[in-house]
Amino acid sequence: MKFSIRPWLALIAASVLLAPTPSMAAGNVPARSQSRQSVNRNTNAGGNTNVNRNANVNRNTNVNTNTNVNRNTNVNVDRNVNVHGGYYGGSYGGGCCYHPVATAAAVTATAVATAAVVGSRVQTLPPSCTVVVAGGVSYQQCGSTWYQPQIASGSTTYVVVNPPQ
Amino acid sequence: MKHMLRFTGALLLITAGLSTQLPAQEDSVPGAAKVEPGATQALDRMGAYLRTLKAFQVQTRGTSEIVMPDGQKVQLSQTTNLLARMPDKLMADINGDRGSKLYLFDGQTFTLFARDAGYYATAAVPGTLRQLVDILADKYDIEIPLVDLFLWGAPNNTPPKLTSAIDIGPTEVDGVSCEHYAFRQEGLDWQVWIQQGDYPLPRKLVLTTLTDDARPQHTSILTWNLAPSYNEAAFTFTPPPDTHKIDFAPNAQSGKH
Repeated sequence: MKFSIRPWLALIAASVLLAPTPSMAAGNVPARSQSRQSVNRNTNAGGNTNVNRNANVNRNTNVNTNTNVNRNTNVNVDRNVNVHGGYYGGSYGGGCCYHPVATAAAVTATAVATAAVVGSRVQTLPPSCTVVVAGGVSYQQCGSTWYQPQIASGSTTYVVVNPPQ
Repeated sequence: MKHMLRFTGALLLITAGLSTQLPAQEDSVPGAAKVEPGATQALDRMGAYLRTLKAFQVQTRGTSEIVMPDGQKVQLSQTTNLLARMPDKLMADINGDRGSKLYLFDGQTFTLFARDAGYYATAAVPGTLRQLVDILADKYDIEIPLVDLFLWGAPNNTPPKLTSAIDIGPTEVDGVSCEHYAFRQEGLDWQVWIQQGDYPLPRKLVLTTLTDDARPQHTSILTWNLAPSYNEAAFTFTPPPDTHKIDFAPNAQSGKH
């Protein structure tokens, strides 16, 4: 298992809370396996893979098996703001109606947002990141979260790190 | 087959004790699994021939399958252009649905360049290609493309034990006359199409993974060039502009296998 437990907990929470939209919940789970590519070796046969090639996670949620909890945070936050921003943000006004999906999404956003645990590893970055080189090390700054790219099991991955000093 | 023996043993006990007849099981079909000497010899011959090659270029087109949590399968495609010079030079260029990657080894340094992301990582691995295969797998959980081509027939490789080996018969792959073989081993059914004649090269491979009920499959068609032209620079990495050097993550499973 290559993933730390904290994002998984958030993932489970997201799955439960997003029950009204099961395709989305399913899309956030990594692939369970893949075909072996070697007769003589049986390494790297696990689900450490990212099927989704779309920039926008919403376009193709059924095939998306990316393990990036944080990227979906942004999706959920957007939904929250659009659908129900006034209810939680307090600054939009006009929030009127209880909506179970929107509420679930809002709660999930909170749960997932805390999942950017230092040391956790994702396969795709959230949108709008900036490359920052500090102390000879290349980082990706995505809002307040900093990632250090690493090649893990042959694939580019991003580890959440503390901001460089 | 160990499994079959255990099953048969259990069947006998139950039959003796209860005098009841159990329905026939797929595993108990007589003669279902057999190891034909001709099929294993063809494999040995292919491996021995591969080990005589001093330099080769292989281009492949292939597909792999990913299994979703609910069992749905998704097929991904890729092409590989691999150039190897024994004992210690490698260039492998992968392009496809999983992105674009370049593997380079010049006998001293291994580089993996993730083109899409603009990142590359390097590791000092002085030695042969055969050593590189083991070191990369152990330290970084990385398998070089078409790794079987470097392991078949290698004196220090123990091939998985075959539980079934069948010669399916003659056919063609891309117009080349081949003999088609099917094998079974623990967790894997696989087939190879070996070129007939004096150059017994693998021309096609199909691997069916058995450890998942969905049985994801990998296929690969190989086109060979046994007299490739290249220069030394082909094996050494020169970072393009706007690329960044990053690290390899250490293999979390290191030492467990």
